Formats: sequence, structure tokens, C-alpha cells
Amino acid sequence: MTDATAEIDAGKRFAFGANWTEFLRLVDDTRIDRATESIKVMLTDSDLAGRRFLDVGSGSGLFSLAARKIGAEVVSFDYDAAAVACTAELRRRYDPAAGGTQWQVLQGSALDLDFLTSLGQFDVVYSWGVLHHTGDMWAALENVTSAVRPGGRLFISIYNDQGRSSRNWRRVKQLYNGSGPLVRRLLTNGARVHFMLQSADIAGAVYRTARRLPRPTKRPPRDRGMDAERDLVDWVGGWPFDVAKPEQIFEFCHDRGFLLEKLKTCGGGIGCNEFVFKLSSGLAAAGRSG
Amino acid sequence: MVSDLAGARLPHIGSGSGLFSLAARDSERRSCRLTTILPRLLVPASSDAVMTVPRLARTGRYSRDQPWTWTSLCPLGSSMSSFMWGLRPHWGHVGGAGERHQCGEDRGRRLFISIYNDQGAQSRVWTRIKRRYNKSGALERWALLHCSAIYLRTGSFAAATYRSLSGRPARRARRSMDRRNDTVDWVGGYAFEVAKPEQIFDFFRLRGFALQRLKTCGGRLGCNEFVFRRESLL
Repeated sequence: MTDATAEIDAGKRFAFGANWTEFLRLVDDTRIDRATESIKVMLTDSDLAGRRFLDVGSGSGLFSLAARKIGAEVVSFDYDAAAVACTAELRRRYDPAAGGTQWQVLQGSALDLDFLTSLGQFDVVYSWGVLHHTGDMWAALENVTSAVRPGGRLFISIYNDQGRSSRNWRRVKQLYNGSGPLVRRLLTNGARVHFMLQSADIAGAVYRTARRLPRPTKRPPRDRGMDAERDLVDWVGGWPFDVAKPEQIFEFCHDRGFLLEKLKTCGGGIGCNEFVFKLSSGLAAAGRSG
Repeated sequence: MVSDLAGARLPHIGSGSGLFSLAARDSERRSCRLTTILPRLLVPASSDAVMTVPRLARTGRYSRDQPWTWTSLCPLGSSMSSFMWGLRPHWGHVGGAGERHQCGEDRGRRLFISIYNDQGAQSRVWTRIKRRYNKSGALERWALLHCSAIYLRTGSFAAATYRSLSGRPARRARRSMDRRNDTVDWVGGYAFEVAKPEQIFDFFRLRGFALQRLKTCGGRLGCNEFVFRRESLL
């Protein structure tokens, strides 16, 4: 029994891997293409050939696969055994030739510095929506920054701090993980209604009707090849749960010699702020020798 | 950020009340050479670009004796940092204003700006209110101002009540500004443009600036603040 499994059984951790196992049934070429595109856009790079890519908290393994698609040599790891199995399954299905050399799939924790150090340094360290679920986000962030080689890039996304709203969600998540299936279903459906009302844009609909404006066009497909239902379950149950304002993440990384290359905020709402940092070669050399 | 501006040249673009020019002077009373630049003289002649400025000028809060134009920013020199708080959105063209301003920046020097946050639909509604305000007479302005004040303060009243009931300390007023003046500035402040933090970041990064400090308004109504440093001349 791994530590993650014990934590899940004790209600101290959400079963992220089980959710990813459900998602795995939905993975197809369209989702893989969207995931690949999202990496290309944020890294402003369409070719990672010959570069080492570390996927911290690989989850379904979709983004490890996306990095493989653009030529990277990938190391994926996750704390949750079920997520590790998902990533391995995705590798078996879509990239069997990669084997264990071009795409390694491991089990480990972002909080385990010895484990991270054993992996070496990487050109791209990718951790999307993971570090805020470790239980100690800042320690995890500190650890993953050490895996970036000088001149390499760190691509992370962290839940936005919404103040009181984030504190309320924290209570919902705690309750979810300490409850049985009935309460979990109630909470998930309650959240579904909450988000539906939020996105219904009632004021906008009244305004458009009054002004006889056309209805908005259909929503674009979900970003990054994700699935709305799986994202909802992940959001309601996702525990441990930490949040940060964009400036907190920026300052943390900036103080460690990283320059911000790309920023994408969620407009202050629910969701993740995304950052791509580049480790300055000179600062890294100076900072890490001391 | 910095406690000593000795010897620095700091053009304060859109000095408003002058409070922050004074703060920059006070931070180092010795040799900070401070230039306040009037936004009216920095923007191309456009009837609605700086509607609030002539009104303030009439009250004597702005001096018009410095003949700056935007092209004269470049000769300001090579050792310059700049400070621009909440002004650029009122110039009528955020991107163009930034484009013109950066000519005065030199490698290693800093640019401190704040820009209204893009709140999507809410920002579009506020644009309409502001446009209306500036086209209206005294009575309608009064009505718009007071309705807006009630709307704006309902949220802060609720937040203050929550903080009080939950035993949290009351929030301190930021930047020593006055609530009434801020409300007038907010409701009347037109031309009005907004931007997401990433739009401002991308704009300056493409022009060789690196972000040094960031302070967002949490997606709410207000300004996002940025301190950039010029890294390279592109």
C-alpha cells in the first residue's frame, strides 16, 4: 500500500488517479492534438526534439504524450499509483516504441527532494494543476525549481487565490473527502448547479433580449483536451488544496532567478493561473553554487 | 521596492494631485530630479482622449507651463525610471501610449505602471456609464455618481461587516487616496480602457522589458500594478 493510497483511505487525499482512470476512456486524437497545441502555445516552441521534459504529477499522462509528440525525451511521475498506471497505459497505447528510455513513467512525490534530484535536470519542467494538491505547495514548488537546468523552463499552473471564496471551497473539499458516496454526490451536483448558474449569464441574457442582440455562439471546445465532467469532480474533491495569487508565484520564482516568459491568468475567478518561467543561466549558476 | 531614489530622474507621467511626485521627492529629499509630465501634452490631439484633465487643470491642480510632447520623452535622457499609475487607460489608446512611452526607457531602468483590470462584461458596462457621465449635465452626473457609489460600496460594506464579525482586522486604505475622489475619478474617468495582466506583460516583454514586480487586483474592479525593467533594446 503506497502512502497515497493510505491517505486516500483516510480521507486526507482525493483519489485523483481514479478520476484520471475515468478520463482515460475519453482520450482520442482530438484531445491529444489540443493538449499538444496548448504546450506549443505556452512554450512558444513547436519542437522539443532532444530536450528533456519532466511531467510532475502526470495524471492521465496526456501532456507527457503531448510532449512526446513534439519530440521531447519525457520523464513522468505521479504520487498516485492509479495515475501512474494511467500514464503507463497511455504510453502503451500511443507510444509503445518509446519504451523506458524515451518516456519513463515513475511513482514519486514532488515533496521528495531526493527523488527529484535523482532524476537529474530538465530543459522543461511541467506541472499543471499539481503542486497545489501536494499538501505543501511552496515546498513542492521549491523542489521542482531545482529540477530546471540553467536556461531551462518551468511551466506551472496554480489555483488562483479568490480570498473568501477559496476558503469556502476548502471547506467543501474537506467535507467531500471525509464523506461517503451520498454526500459526495450531493456536493458534486450542488457544485454543478452553482457553476451552471454562474455560466448561465442571466444578466447578459436579459440584456441581449432587451437590446434584441443575437445569442452568443456555441462555446468553444474545452481547453487542453480536458473533460468538463472530470474537471468538475477533480475540482470538488481535489484535496489537499492550496491557492496563490499570481504575484506570489511570480515573486517566489523571480527570487530564485527565474524570468517570467508567459503569463495567463484566470481573470481572478475559479481556475488556475499559468506561468512559464525561464531560469536565467547566470543567476542560476550564482544562486546554486551558494 | 526601493527606499532610495537619490540621483534618479523620475518622470511621473500623469501626476494627478502630485502626491506621488511628492512621495518620490520625499523618499530622497536630496538629489532626485523629478519631472512631472502632463498627459494632455503627451497624447495626440483628440477631443475625448483626456476628458478629465482639462477639468482638473481648471482647478489649478495641473500646471501647464512645461511644454512636453510625447516626442520630447526621448530626449529626457538615458538614466530614467518612470512612474505611471492608473493613467494610461485614460489616454484613449493603451497600446499606443505604451509604444510612445518606451522610447524614453534605457537598459536597466524601470517602468512602474498600473492599468485597469479587464473584467469582461462588467468593464463594458462601466465604459458605457463613463461615456454617459462625460456627455451628461450636472444632474445626471450627480445621479450616476451616487448610484455608482452605492453599488461600489455595497460590496465593501459587506466585506467590512464580515471582517468585523469574524474578528479580522479592518483593511487599511491603500495609497493614501480619498474615497470620494476615487469614486469621482472612477465614474468619470473617460477615455477608459482595460487590459488583462497578461496583455500588459506580453506588450512590454515584446519590447525588451522584464517584469520585476506584479500586484494584481484579484480579478476585481481596480488596477493591476507592474514594475518592469528594461533588459534589452530590441
